[in-house]
Amino acid sequence: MRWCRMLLLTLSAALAAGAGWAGDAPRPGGTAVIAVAADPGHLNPAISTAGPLHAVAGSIFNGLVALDRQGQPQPDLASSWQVAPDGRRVTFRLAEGVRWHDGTAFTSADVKFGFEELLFRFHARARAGLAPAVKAIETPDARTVVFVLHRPHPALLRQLDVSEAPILPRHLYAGSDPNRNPANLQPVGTGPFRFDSYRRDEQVVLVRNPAYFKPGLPRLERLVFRVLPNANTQVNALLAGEVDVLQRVSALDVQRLKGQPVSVVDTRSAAGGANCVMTLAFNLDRPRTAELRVRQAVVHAVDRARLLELVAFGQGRVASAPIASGIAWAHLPGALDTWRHDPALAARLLDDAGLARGADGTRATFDLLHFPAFARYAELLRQQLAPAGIVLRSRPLDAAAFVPAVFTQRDFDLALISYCQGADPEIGVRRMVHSSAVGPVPFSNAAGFRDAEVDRLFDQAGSTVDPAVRAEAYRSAQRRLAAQLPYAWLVETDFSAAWRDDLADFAPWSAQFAESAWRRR
Amino acid sequence: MGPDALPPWAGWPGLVLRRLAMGLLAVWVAASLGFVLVQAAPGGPAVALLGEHAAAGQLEEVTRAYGLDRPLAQQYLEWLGRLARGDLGVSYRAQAPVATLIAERAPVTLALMLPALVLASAAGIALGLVAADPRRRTRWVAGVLAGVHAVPSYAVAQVLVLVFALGLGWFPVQGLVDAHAPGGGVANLLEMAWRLTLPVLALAVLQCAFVALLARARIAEELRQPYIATARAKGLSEGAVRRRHALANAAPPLVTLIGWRFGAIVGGSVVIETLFALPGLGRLAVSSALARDIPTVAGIVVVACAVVVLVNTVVDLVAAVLDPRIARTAA
Repeated sequence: MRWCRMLLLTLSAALAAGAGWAGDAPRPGGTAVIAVAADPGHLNPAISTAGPLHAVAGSIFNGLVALDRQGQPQPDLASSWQVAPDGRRVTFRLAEGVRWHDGTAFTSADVKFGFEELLFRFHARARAGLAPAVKAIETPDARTVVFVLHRPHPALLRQLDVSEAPILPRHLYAGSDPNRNPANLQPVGTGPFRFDSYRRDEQVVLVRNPAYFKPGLPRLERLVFRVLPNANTQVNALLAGEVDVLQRVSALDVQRLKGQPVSVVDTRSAAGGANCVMTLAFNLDRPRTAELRVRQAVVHAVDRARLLELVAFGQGRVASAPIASGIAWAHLPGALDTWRHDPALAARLLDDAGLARGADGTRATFDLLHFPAFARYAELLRQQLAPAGIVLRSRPLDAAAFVPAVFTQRDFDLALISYCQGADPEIGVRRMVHSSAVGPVPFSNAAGFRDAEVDRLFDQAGSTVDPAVRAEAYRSAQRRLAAQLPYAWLVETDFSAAWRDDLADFAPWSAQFAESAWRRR
Repeated sequence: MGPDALPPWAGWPGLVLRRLAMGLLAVWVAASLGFVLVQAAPGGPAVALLGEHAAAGQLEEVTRAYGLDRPLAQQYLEWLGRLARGDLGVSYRAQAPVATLIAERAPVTLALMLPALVLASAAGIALGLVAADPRRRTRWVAGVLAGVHAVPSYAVAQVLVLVFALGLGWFPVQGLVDAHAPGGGVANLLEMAWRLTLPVLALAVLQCAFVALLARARIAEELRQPYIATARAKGLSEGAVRRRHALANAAPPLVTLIGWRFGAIVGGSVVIETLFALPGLGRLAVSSALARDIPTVAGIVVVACAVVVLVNTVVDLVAAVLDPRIARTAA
């Protein structure tokens, strides 16, 4: 009897496993509808860093490498690469059989042209973060590209994915003004999906690239990017099955999706950036915020755990160091532990700084600039600083107004910025603390922080490939930053992406999220 | 000679000319305000066009390329000169003539606004007819209508979506097309009407309450007039008295006031198009304003204002037809 039961159990387990296998095997075909919050405007990702554009273009183009969920480089247009022992030459071998969507063969000349004529001139992050490190790009043959560097540039491989460095076709862009090229609206890439149609403010449709160079991919037949500017409409459309994927879901909306046939995944990276930290920048060009004790007082008046709980709804972590915990090898755990919430200490520091309370209890009024989307952070900060006698005057500005106000006119006391640090401190931390990044470059050193020692440490870490030397330099820099306080690093914010359960193998941490995705039914 | 002795057409040329002159002035003032306000908004189109991380040099390049570094007065005069020739300019963002963009989007907005206006007017007048009471016993109806009128259209839209789209599944949550359908287009007029039902209702509810409030008050006032007693004495039914006598006399001011609501519906369509993701003029206005696409925003203001002025002029003329005293007073 017992053996009989065992046999039955074994048989049913085998059947269940078989059924599971059949149900979970990737199937070709089907459409995925993805919500995007704004119209992309055009589809040339080499001349703009705008999020909605990259959300769409990431499926049309490729980078030399792809980044996996941990931010590690994986083959994309380059099938392999080799770094010279001195770190000054990186040789890429390009994948075989790659063709542009119009049938033209993809060669190393496309890569050289793409970097030299498009990315280094027009893509703001490639121009600022990569171009200064590259001395020359050599193309010894059609399938080999060599990056010759001025100095070792350890972040190079993490700056070559489809978001940071999409490769565009030389045969369509050579000799033209890339801002007005007709291909910006009829893009031709090498990516898993080909452009089909674009109706402004409504939707962009991409169809499967049957000649994609990665065998068996992509699996979906169509991708439709629906422009849905209202977050509530996005969630409603997901629940109604009209939309399959939301790339960004607010913590509040995640609550609404609980118990629904929807998968929600928290990641530290998304098409818009990786390892993002909500940061309060102090304008060090203004006398009051240049005073260290004032900055210390602000930090002690702020209850960061409450910000995480009430605004981010627990979707992330209280920042414990200037470099995000997602960049674990460079992160210095506990660097900000002395920043405990202590209103009494904040009051004493303000007294010491000479900011006495006026008749109405006010010590100082600070302008706080922020994107409208960060209004809840601004409101809670206002409430938390009020007992210390600091009045925050909230000035919500959209990007077109925020950037010149903070980085050109420097017309602010405090600015709330979500700094995405990327996969390496060279990508997103150097720009906010190095003195060479002070100036009218958007989302650079907003504080206007200049410190020779921090510069030296970042230069050291950025010009060697020795991981131990780099990690130690970054840790020392973080100790100094925690003491100098050019910024208050508040909360590490995670992204939540949501998709309907009948879709599988989405990669929400990448701009090329649908390359392997497929539909269960 | 008193006004009653004038021929029926006496005041018309003056009325039409005066309305048109006032209309032109209104369009010019509104368009200029639109132009100046978008210019005065902090930030410029360069950041919006290039992305948040654009470098300073690139921003300056784009600012120069679009002539945005020239004095505001010079830009304004050039724009006004082109406008006088009927040229609305070229969109910074779309690199296409503004007139073309507006022509592409206008059908969606009209398909939303016109049914909403007709529905709101018809249902509002019907409600007003039923609820009008010369002895003021239906004051609570006015209270309810005023309450409905106070609910913002985005809240009405949310309730409609929760009940009829997510709850009952009768209508889609958003969009003019089914993104999952292979063609991705609108299959037929019937489908379009189905997809526009909730947006039209969301836009119409508030206007309907307003029209009903007005109609109820105007008809009740007429019902208190002595001629109504005469009509009843002739043996007419209550319905006929209300429709043929009270409503006919209440109509001219009602038509004028409903015409004025056209402007409110234009404004309301901006919110509704955004909530229901409809690619109409309202969406174009919002996305262009965010991108500081000055020619497009100013162009939409000119066209919207011209249409509102035109509709109001036509409404005034209709009111004059319904009540010839209006034209005669104008003479």
